[in-house]
Amino acid sequence: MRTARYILALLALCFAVPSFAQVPYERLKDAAKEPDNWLTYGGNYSSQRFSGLKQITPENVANLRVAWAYQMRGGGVMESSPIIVDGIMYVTEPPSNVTAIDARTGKPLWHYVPQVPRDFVPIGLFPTNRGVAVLDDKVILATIDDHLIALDAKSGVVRWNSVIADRMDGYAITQAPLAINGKIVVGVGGGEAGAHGFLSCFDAKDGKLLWKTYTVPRSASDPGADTWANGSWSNGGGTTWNTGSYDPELNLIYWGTGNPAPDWNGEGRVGDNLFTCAMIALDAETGAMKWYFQFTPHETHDWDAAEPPILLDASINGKPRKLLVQANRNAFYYVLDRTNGQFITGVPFAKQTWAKGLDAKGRPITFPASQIEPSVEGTLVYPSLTGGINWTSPCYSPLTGLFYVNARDGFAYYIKGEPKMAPGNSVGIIGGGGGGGRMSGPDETTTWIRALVATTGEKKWEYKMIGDSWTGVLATAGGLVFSADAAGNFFALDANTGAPLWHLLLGSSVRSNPVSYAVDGRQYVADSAGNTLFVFSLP
Amino acid sequence: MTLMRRVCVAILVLAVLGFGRNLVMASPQGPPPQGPPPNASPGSPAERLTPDDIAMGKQLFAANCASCHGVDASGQLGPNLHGVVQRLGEQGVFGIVRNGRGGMPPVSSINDRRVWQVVGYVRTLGETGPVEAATGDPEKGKAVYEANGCSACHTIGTTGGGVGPQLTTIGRSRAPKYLHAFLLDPGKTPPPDMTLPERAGNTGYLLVHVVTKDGHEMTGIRVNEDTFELTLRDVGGHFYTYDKSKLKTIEAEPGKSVMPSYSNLSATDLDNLVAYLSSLKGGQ
Repeated sequence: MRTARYILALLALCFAVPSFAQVPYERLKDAAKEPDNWLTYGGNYSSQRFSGLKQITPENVANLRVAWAYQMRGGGVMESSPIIVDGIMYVTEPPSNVTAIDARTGKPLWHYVPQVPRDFVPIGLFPTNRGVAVLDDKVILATIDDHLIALDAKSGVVRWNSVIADRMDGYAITQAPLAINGKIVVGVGGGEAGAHGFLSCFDAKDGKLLWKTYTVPRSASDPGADTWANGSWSNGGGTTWNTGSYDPELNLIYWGTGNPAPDWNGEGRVGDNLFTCAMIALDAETGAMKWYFQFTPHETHDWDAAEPPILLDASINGKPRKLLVQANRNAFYYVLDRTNGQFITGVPFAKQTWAKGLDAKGRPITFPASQIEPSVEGTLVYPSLTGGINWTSPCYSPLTGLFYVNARDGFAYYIKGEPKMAPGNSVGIIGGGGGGGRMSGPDETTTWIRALVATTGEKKWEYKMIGDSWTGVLATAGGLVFSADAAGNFFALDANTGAPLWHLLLGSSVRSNPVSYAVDGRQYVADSAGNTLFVFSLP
Repeated sequence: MTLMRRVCVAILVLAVLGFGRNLVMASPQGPPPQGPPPNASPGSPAERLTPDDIAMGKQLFAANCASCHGVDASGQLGPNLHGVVQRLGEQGVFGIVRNGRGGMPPVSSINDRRVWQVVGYVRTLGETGPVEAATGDPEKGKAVYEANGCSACHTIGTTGGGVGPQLTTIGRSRAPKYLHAFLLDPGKTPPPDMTLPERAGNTGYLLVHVVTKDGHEMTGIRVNEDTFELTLRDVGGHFYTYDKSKLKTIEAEPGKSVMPSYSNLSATDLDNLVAYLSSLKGGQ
């Protein structure tokens, strides 16, 4: 009798506490249908970073105020894009820690710290983390030292821990994994450390490896090996360091790849260097490459193609098309057919001085090498090493049909160095590869929020910021676009006109992607500045 | 544009760029491949370099260091480097390159051997003595400094004003040639912004002229600027923060300086003043 009453009480407790709900694949697939939650890194599988919430509007955004703030336990700068599930937020802190927070009040619920070797210093990247994935009852984290760890969403305890790569080979991971149907897909960073890029897929149940697909040849007989002179594919490159997208109907995973190695000096790797600086489409079941599109063949300026691919369906010349669009670090905006990788159109979205344009197949028509290739004394080229855009996410509003991007007009003096590579070791590497560059200073760099017609890249409006902003962009159904400038002003623009409507100085630079969610009927907007996550709502 | 470029902090940028910012985390340490062990002497790291290494060091210096330290390393925005290896030691200079110092960013984008090549090149400059020593009389120069009211704006030691940069150690950081040119045309090579770490790389002491929508005009030294607001400081040390949406015009005036030109001084007085400033090395 007493036992029965106890069980009843426990059951009642279960019903009274709706938090830590399950997130089956179906919820992720239909994430756009539940705008109260932010279930994947990019907001949905299409990485649109569009919130369907419309409580906050151009009319009332001036009343936005801080609802709560969370300061990270350690130092560093927060770059995490929070995941929000049914009132619980999961956010990461450098180097690879996870905190669960009550998304309504900001109260921490649990904190997980993986064991990262203290002597581990990744090459060519900051030891940070940009977010987690959720699937069923698990929160999945990729660590800086290349582990994929599944945590129990309720308690933060480890359910499984798999090794993605060997850190001694130069691999390091900062990205959020991508959870699909029963699987976790994750890429790797380390393109400046001689790492060979690949995407791998793990069983969400137990963390067993299901498939692993390299983005660069591993032997002379591999596809693309003939695009690397003298076996130079062995240098590696083509890392997959930013989170990709997924089309459940086509069952294709889309991921951008990074620079060939060594960077800034292509003399030893004549050829297109496939499949670096490309978009690749992989079959989610097998990892087989369905198609690729290389944005920057034989890349020599560190213009990785790791920027998020945004998937959208729209009409081109009167025909409905399944599109993949990307604002590439090389300063061009591309529109591709995501069923086959066919190039549809491409135009610059940021200042560039390296290509006259793109040909009918999307291949760049470059200016003479003497004007654009890195040199010992330095060659002035736009965009800079950080690119027309870097890792921060643009967004797409299906309501306006506009693609919103934080675009950078800046230059670098590109310097050529010695092309020596030794995986996992900086010895022999200059400039993290084959050179480096001196970049335009803050007074010489301009960043903009630019709104492009998503199907053409035509500029609809632009909003000028001061300094070198490193913030993603969020669009909402309320008709707003959120982002931040270099000084840390978090602001809202009118999504249709770009008119500034509201801003608040957060006191440190903002280096993350804003998100929006709702709990108990109240819409929140979240973004971090410095080591603090700020969450805003109407009074 | 040239001016802006000149004032830009030289940043050896990294690969890092792939993932984040332009300034960089510590590079993995370890001895260079063919390089010598630390503190080895004789045959210390920089001494063991071949003429080819020195030539490469010169190229690396021109590409990465010259924009602040001057093409001949005699100092411009950054210090004069002639004799710096002899004064601070090879390891000391190596450490400054790796870790940064003051307004200089840490350089971790090149491997140890490359840093040694640069150190080796800089060492050779010190062996030939300073490019140009100040020729005037420092004592007489001090009198020129006082007679011209320089201390109204500049502090030496604990005495003076705060409008311009402190000059207590100016002799360490600026070559006589730079000081001479600067006194004649202060707007030509303004120092970098050292006020706040996040403003590193910005033009320092940039004069900005604004006109408000109601017709009020003001020219001041830019203290801070973001997308929404601009803060200027006048020579009296007062701060003025403007909502940019309420300004009719905002015009930066690169090439101008709040500091007057001292071209009215006699050649002798100017030489003496330069000699005095060059003698200011602090901590003595």
